Amino acid sequence: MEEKKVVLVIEDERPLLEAVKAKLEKSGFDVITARSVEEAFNHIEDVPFISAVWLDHYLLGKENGLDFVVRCKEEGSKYKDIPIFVVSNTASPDKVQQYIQLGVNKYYTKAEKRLEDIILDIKEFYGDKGCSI
Amino acid sequence: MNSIRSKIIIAFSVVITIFVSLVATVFVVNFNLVNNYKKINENIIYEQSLRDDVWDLIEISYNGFNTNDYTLYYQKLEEVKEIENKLDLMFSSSSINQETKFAYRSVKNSLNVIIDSVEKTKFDLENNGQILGVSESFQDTVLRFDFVKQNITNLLILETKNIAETTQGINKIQNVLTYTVSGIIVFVLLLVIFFVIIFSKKITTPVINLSEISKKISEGDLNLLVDETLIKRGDEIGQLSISFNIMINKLREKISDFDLSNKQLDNKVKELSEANSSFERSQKAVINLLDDISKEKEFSDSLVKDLEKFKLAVDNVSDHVVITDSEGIVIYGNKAIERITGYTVEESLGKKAGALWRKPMDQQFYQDLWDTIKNDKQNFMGEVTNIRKNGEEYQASISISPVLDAGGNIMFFVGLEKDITKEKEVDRAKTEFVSLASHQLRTPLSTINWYTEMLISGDAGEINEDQKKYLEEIYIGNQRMVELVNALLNVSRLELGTFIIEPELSDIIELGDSITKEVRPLAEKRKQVLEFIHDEGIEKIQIDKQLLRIVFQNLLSNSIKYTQEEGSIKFNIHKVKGEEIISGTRIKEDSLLIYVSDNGYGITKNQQDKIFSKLFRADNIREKDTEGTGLGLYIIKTIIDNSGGQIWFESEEDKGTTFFIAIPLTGMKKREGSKALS
Repeated sequence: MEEKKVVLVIEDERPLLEAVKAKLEKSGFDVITARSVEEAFNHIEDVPFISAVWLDHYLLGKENGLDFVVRCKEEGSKYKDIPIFVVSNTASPDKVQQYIQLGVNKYYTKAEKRLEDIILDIKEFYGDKGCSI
Repeated sequence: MNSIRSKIIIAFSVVITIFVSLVATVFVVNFNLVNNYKKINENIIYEQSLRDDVWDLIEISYNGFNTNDYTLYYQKLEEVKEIENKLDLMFSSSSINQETKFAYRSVKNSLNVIIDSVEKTKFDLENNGQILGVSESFQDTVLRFDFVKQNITNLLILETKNIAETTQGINKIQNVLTYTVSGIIVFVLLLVIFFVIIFSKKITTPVINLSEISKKISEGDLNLLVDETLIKRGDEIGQLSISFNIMINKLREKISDFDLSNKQLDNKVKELSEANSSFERSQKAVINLLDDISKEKEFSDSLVKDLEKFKLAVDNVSDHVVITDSEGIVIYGNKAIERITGYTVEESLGKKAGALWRKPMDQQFYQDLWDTIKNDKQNFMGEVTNIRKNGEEYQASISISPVLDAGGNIMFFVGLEKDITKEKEVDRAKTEFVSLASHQLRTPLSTINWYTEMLISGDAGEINEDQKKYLEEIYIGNQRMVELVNALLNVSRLELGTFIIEPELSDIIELGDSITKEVRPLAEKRKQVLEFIHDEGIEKIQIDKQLLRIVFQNLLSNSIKYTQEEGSIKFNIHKVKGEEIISGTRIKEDSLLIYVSDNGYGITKNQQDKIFSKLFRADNIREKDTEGTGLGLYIIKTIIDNSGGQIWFESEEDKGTTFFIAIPLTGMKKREGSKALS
């Protein structure tokens, strides 16, 4: 029996956070939410493992999505290999560039993407891998 | 050698010898004669003294016999004997005459008698101690004394006569000698004159000969040679003549050489005089030039005054201006340099522009810079980071232009730098604002989007047909909103001037293909025919793919949207030449012509002028209820206008529309900014 995958959703807008959580759970994922980078890292430490991260750019607190990615991808960090899917409304190419250069898996523009499609990608990601992290 | 010199020497020696010997002879003879005379004198004096002594003796004897003092008597006797001896000596020479000799004999005899008698007396005295009477002998003696006296007197007279004769004889001889000597002198002089005449002729004749030859030679006649006779002589004149001949020969050689040189000289002189005349011409030209130059100077002086005004202006301009030579070394800087960079103009002079304040850029930047300004001789614009003297960093936009001379060579570069830190700040603020605004606008839209999506999917429970329909309307409306927000964001970037055009060498046909593929589903949905027609072999061209994508997407989606179902849309890309006129517009230069034509609703004539305005939607379109933001054409027009292209259209209501775009073959113009459109 496959273990349920845990997705960490980091999003500052409450309604959006709820929508994403609802849809992910409907799609068969366990969801942990955070509204700031600090909160996110707390959760990461509490939970045994996280299969994927759904990350917005603008967040509560001083740090933003980029900071989160940077911290994850630090040398020696145990979170280096967690797949990150950035879903944000800031579509500026330089931001996209930055995220991609840091090594996120994909970047989506929120308003242009259906929830379903994004979740499908995440599922496919695991389908390809054929295993859970 | 038969030398004249030796002959002369010999001749003179002979003459002098003769002269000297003659004179010597004369003197010798004279000397002898004088000596003879002296001798005779001495004899006389001697005889006088003899007479005196004999007289004394006689006296003594005379008296002596009357006394007894005999010492004196004896003494005198000895003396007389002595005198007799001397007389003998004197008259022994054979040079005296007979008379004198006879007289002398008489004297001597007398003396002997005296001496005998005296000796006898002496004997008597000594032995007998007395004079035996007055002896005979004594009487004789007395007589003899008188006789002696007389003899001696005769001798004296004779001697005096002899002296007179001798003296006469001497005088005669002396006269003879004088005449002889004079004669000798005359003779010698004549001899000398004789010799001189002979020898001088021997010398002067050849000399005259040689001088005549010299004269003739100096007059130009070189065909003479010195006389053979002169040459044959073995003396100095002969040598001179030989040398003379050699000289003449050599002279002839030299003269023929000179003639040759002369001819060459003549040629050279000709050349020189030609050169001279051309030189004079040049001189005239130079003088004319100098005239022109002085006029130019007056003109340039007035220019200088004007220049000073410009210099003053540039000096005080608020932007940093630098002028460098063709290698980039600063030769002028204005005051703004110090204000902006912190370095004084003096510090900047002589160094490469920017050496002091430029933060080092990468190799590629400098390569592009120099390529553009030096090789392409074009203006270069770019953004750099500078560091002020106090260490503060700031952004600057630089513009460097080459200034060329009439021959197209680079004289110097003019560089302008603008401190764009504030501008950048403002830009950044604007960009951030737009970014934030877009985020803020999109967030609620995303919320509506996803919740509606979930509702439609039935995640909140089953929904009926009507509910689905209404939710779908909500969803579509939301999508439109999202599109509008995107378009508005692009417009705001365009208006803020912050968008970039970054052309890259790309295959425009490939882009066209990609967009066509993208929009085909839309066309197929409306059962429309979509064609992409293009020239073969269109080379890659400098275009900003992202922006051109927006342009193509917009044109194609417009055509699809604003054409009825089963309509046809044609997407074309072709090469056109400059100056061609297409649909009333003149193509400025060789370009790629892109046009999208449809047989759709068209644009009414009275609304065509507004078609590119912001948010404008034509009435006939709005009636037909199609969706659109009214911003698409505004956006693409701004893009095309800013990238050096041309955009225009032709349309007729209900017939169709064709939009044209011309992009120069040289490519889209690069545009610096801070944000790309999305």
